[in-house]
Amino acid sequence: MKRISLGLLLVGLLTATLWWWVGTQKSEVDTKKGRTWQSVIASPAESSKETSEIPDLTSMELGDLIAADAPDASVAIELIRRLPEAKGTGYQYELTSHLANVIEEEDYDQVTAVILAHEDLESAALDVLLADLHLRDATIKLPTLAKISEDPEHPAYREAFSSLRTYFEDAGDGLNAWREAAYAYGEGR
Amino acid sequence: MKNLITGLAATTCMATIVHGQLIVTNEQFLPGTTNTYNTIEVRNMLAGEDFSVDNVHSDEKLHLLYEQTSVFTLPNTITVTNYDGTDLVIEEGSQVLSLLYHFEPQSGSRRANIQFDVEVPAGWWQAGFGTAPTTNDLRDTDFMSPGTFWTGSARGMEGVGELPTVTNLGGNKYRLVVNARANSGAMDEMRIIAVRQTPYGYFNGLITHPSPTTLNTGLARITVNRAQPSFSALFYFHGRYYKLRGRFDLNWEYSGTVSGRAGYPDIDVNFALVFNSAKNYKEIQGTIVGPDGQSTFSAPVAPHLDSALPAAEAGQYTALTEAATSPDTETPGGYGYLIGDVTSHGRLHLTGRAGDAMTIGRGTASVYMIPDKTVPFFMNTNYFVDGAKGQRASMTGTLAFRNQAGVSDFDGEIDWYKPEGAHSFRFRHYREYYAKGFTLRGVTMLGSRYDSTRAIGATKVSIDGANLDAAVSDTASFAPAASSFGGETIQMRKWYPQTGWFSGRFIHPGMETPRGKSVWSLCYGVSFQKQDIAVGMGIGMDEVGPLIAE
Repeated sequence: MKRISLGLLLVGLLTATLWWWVGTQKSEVDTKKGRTWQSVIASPAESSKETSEIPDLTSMELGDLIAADAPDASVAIELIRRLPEAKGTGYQYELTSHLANVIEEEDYDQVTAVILAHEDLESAALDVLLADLHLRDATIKLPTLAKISEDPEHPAYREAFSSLRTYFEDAGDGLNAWREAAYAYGEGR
Repeated sequence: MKNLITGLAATTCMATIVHGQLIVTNEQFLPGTTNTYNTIEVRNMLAGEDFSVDNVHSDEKLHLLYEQTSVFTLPNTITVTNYDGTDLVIEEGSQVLSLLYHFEPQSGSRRANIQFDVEVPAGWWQAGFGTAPTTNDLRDTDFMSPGTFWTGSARGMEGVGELPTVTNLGGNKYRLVVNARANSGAMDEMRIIAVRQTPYGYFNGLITHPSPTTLNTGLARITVNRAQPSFSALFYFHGRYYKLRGRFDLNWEYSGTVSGRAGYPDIDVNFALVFNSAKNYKEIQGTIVGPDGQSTFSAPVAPHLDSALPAAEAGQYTALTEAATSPDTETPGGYGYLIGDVTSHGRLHLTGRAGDAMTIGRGTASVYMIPDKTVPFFMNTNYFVDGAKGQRASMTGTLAFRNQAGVSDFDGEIDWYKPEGAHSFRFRHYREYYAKGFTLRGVTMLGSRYDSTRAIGATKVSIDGANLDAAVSDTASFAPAASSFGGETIQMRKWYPQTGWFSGRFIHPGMETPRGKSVWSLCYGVSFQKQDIAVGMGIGMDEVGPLIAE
């Protein structure tokens, strides 16, 4: 009997270790730690196939930019580029709400990067991005919420936590399990 | 609707635009004036008109023209009539009104000190003073924060501009004094302009249809620029996003076609930014024509994104949707439950389970409160029909934040559409419950503020429906540190005091293992402090039933 118990304990320990290791690898790959939204727009090849062909929109007034006959992807990049200069003005949320309206879903990692680098966002600017995030397809929303939940200091941490629990309460106990399930869903696993 | 401009008096030009948007009185030529030529024109700027000095006489809609061709000294009599002797008409829906003052000496160097008192009613209109602006000036410069005034330089002698001085006379009345001066053959000019108040902002509202389904309803979200009348929009309609960018015309209207892409139908959109005078806020009203005919939407501005106007309703909430009175395998009987909060910016964020036990996916409600303290509640749930474009379940309705003592802190009725064959992404056998789909209209939703430090007094929990022959019950205890059910028939297994959510299980007498052992079935719910109860659902073999602790 003791041998069986010892064996079960060993299997349990191995499983837990493997679970932890997988989780660690996942976190390092997907959360893109240290990556800022500035770095996303600085490396357009990662974000959109259109970005190599985008026109220079930097001299356009915001109103003209929004109405411009230019690809949404390029407008989105220009909006992100303008976020720093709008910080502290009280209307940075206008930029991010435009961003939420123009972003292509395949380019959403740009918005994710903006959300994760929340220090550069006014509160309202982040708020409208979160409003948009919750309406996105689950393959986008859930991994992004998981990334937010990696940072307990993120203003949306509690929102991400409760959302993940609601979606994945059946997938296991605790944030790690819900987060893993969210990443897995985003990858179609 | 026709409005008239009338009025003239000695030494005073009283030009009152009865439309209620711009009132100019007491235009007075102050001592020292040596005017020789003066033109005053009031015109309505309609869509498509070229706003240029050269065009001032070509406007057939409005023309208030006075020409003084002889040297005059105070007191002076100015007669103002319509140029063709008819009443001056300003059409409803005017966007820009301007009073143009020309000063053009016929000889020598002249000057005129002119004083205008201008009243600009609060809200929709604002005013700008300066030289004759172009259309772009109006778009780029005059659209500014409410209550502020743009003072462009008067086009003075040899290009030397002078700024008119503006003094607030209290309320929305302003006194404007300009010292016009010009040489013979040159011209000084100034406009007093009233334009619609800068209508920038974040607008959101429900898309509705006379015969609503999940495909012809949705959410409209539009951001209008601060600096120019351009916008970006996102319509959640037909189960997907429709994106749009563009520019309003001078009547603040837009129409166009939005491509559906990826096999979804194109839609035609028409909308206008208007001031809802009955409710005293600005909103975007429009139509969407899709495969199901015409849907309409009304999207008011979200005022609390302005950090100076934090939402008093900010805080944590739990919410419920009422259970069906006669639940069966085609109509879910559980209390839907949701947890979430209202941010200081007025965003209602709720997530939870609908009353058929499915997790409310893709569309955790995340929408903004509008000025009348209602929220356009919209959730496109995660139930989808494989291979059917746009066929997702959704919930939509209007929630009103108001204190109903002992009942709720917000309430409303929602419509709940679940297409046949819709199911959630995975987990649990109940993902395919109620597979025939349903349409439930007017489902009551109630919300309660949630205080994580507060207990509720419920002592008994019971579950009904859920394929049970008779309700099962147990004792209950809710406290922030630890909440529990008795455990004999109903167990609480997880309790999150931070949000008021719990999950558990109950012994289902109708469900047994092949060896005849009892089967525990799942239950979920939330604390609803406003009524000192907890509500949720118990899950049976193919039905969901209400859980209530009171």
